[in-house]
Amino acid sequence: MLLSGENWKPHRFWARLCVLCTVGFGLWFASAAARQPSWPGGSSAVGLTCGLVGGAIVVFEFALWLRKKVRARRLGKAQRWLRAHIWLGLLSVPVLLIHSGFRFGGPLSATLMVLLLAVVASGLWGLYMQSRLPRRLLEEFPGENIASQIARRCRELENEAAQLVATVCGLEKKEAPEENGEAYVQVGGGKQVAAFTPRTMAGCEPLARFFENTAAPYLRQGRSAAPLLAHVGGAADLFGHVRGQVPPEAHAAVDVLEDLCSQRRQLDQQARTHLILHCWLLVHFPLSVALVILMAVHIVAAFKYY
Amino acid sequence: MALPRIPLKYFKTISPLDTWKGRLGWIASGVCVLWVGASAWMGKEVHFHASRGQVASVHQVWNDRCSTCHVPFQAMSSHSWTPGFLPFLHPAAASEQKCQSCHAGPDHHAGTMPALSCGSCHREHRGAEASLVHMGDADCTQCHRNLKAHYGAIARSAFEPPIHNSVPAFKEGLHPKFRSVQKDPGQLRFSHAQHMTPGVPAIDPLTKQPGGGLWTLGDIAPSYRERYRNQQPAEQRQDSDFVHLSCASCHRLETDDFNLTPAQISELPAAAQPARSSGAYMLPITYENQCKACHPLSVAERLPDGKLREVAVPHRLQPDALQKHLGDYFTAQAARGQTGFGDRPAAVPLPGKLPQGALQPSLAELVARNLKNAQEDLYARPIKKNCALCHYLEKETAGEQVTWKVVPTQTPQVWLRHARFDHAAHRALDCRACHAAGYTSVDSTDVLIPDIDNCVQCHAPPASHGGKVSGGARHHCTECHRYHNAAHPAQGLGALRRGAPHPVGIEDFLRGKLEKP
Repeated sequence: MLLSGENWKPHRFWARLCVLCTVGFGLWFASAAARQPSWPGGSSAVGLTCGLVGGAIVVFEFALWLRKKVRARRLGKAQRWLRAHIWLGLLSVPVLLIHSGFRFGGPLSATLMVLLLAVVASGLWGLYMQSRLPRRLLEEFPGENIASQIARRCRELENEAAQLVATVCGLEKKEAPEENGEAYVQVGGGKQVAAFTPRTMAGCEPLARFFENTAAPYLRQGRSAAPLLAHVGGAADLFGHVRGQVPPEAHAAVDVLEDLCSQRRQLDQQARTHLILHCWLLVHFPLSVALVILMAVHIVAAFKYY
Repeated sequence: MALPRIPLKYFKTISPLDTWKGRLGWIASGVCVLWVGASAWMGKEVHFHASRGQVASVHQVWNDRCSTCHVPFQAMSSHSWTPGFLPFLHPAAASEQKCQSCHAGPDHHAGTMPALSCGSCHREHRGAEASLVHMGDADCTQCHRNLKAHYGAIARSAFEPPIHNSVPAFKEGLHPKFRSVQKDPGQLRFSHAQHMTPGVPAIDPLTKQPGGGLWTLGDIAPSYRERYRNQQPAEQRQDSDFVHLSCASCHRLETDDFNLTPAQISELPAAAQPARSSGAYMLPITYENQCKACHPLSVAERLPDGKLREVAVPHRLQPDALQKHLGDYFTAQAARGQTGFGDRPAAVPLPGKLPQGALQPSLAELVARNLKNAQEDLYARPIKKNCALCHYLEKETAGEQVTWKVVPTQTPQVWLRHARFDHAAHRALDCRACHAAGYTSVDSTDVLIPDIDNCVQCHAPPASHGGKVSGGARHHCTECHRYHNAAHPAQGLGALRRGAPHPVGIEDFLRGKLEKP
């Protein structure tokens, strides 16, 4: 896990800083509250200090996005930024709660508090996901592709399968779409079927029909086009049925096609896992944007009417 | 089968996740800007919904008009921390001018220290139901914990002694005894024990205890009888039953509760009949309302034919004025008896001679004798229903001339001058729970207003000792005390010095334009 074992050492400094600041501000708040009839608000000494500190933390937290945008400039180590991001983000909750005097206040301040808690909660969810899913990706997807290239790889699989079936069934080959003039690199990975040299064989019409109706849509669109192929058992049944309809010498081609569908299945699962791993950002980032904008409005209004 | 290929610059590919992240970020920005813009456009003022909470209900009309109370970039409270490195922030000064547009907020005492802004103690934005006047003890004890440190330029003579230097809490030993109930300033003879005894027996002058001379309902004048009959227990309402007074026979919070007839109402001073009484204090005791039914003032008049007649005497006149009143009355009565008195020409004295009295010498003597007897009846014989029964008198003798003077009663209407008490809040309690001696006190110098030891039975933190419970009622300083205008404790909320210095019209009031133009 991210924060276990040897990974914990670099976090120790930040954890201690977080605890110390929380306890320090907490004691200051408690001592101020004991002297007043109601808990200190944002304009008190402890409240304003916590507000300034919390605001600075929020700005720093948001700066991680800028750091990633200009990563080539190497503004400090990314790991260090991330550690600071995690722990200062956690620290922002008690600090800003103290700043608020543990009150929601009016519409703007209540919205800010809700946004802060939602951002931190989504961040904690993301931290948990980041500590669990990468290992699962490593274990379950040995042929893991770069996530942004999954769609492209699926197109490659479809083209390969089309070429194979056209050759085996004696159909007219369709040319693969022209690549744009980019440079490419080949990457290896995944289990491959034993080498097979495609050639035209008689009696492979069922294979062509199967490919046209089921396999090609699946390779193109995924599980929505052929739900049976999305499951290992269902795919095995289907391909077993196809083998029964074609001559034995075409079975190797069926095996290759089955393998291509299996890769497609893995790519689907990988894409889903990748989405689960990163979907929290669809909540975390927009809410952070809203938090920063409204925090700026709050600062102006709070100083104007304090 | 071909190996996978990826473009060299694959990292520049924007995934759908990144695309949606960006879109949602822009949407979030747009929503925020729209909200801020809408609140600026739709609000009475631009405040961005930045209020830290709803204002108290008394200020509700300006809930959306921040400028009514706030001066931009200036603190409301003297306790607000204004960092020196933020030059656009200023400590509280002009903001309290806004408060004083409506609330004069007179000083606690002249020259009190420290100088605090209104917002230092009166905290707003705590919801519509919050009180702006009930605050924690810390606001008071910041000075009263050690008053000497805050005397500053105050002259000691400005205060009524004694001044207690340290009053940190409402607790025996920490809060001083109530100084205004240590001694009764009243100059009126009255025995609660006598009046609370059924029959209201006369007081034995030797033992000073009630004994003999019992009153029945039939002894009360007919015009007052029904009022006292209705107060009696149900089984004791015959004319022959003894008069049975209770606390409420004389002490009421509302004039209507006396069930007075129109004639009786007309006798009462207007000040004893406040409209819509708040119920905080008992109505003042007046002779006309509480005493006259059993203590009618009268003197005997001897008529020219030798018969005696009782003459009613007005209350509330000093002896010299009363003598003049009775003199005029007796003279008029005597003159009425003479035939043709009204037609007789007035005698014109010869130069150098005094005019002879219009009355016949015997009638003039009659008038003089009636006046002398009246003076003795009213002032010299306390056993009768006359002034001397209840009032203290000063007698001055100059030869044969005796002059009397009634000492002003000085019975306080409000005993706790520097604190507020509300009887209406305590009406669930029996009178004797606090005024235990109300049925047993024989001496009018007894003070029947309880001291702090009675109050702390309820107004203390809740506790339980030996099966007996105590405390639980609010016991903050502001429960009884008020800060402003303490130099004039007898003044209430209606006093001019508490009002707005510049009253405004309705439009300006609603718009929060309350300052002097």
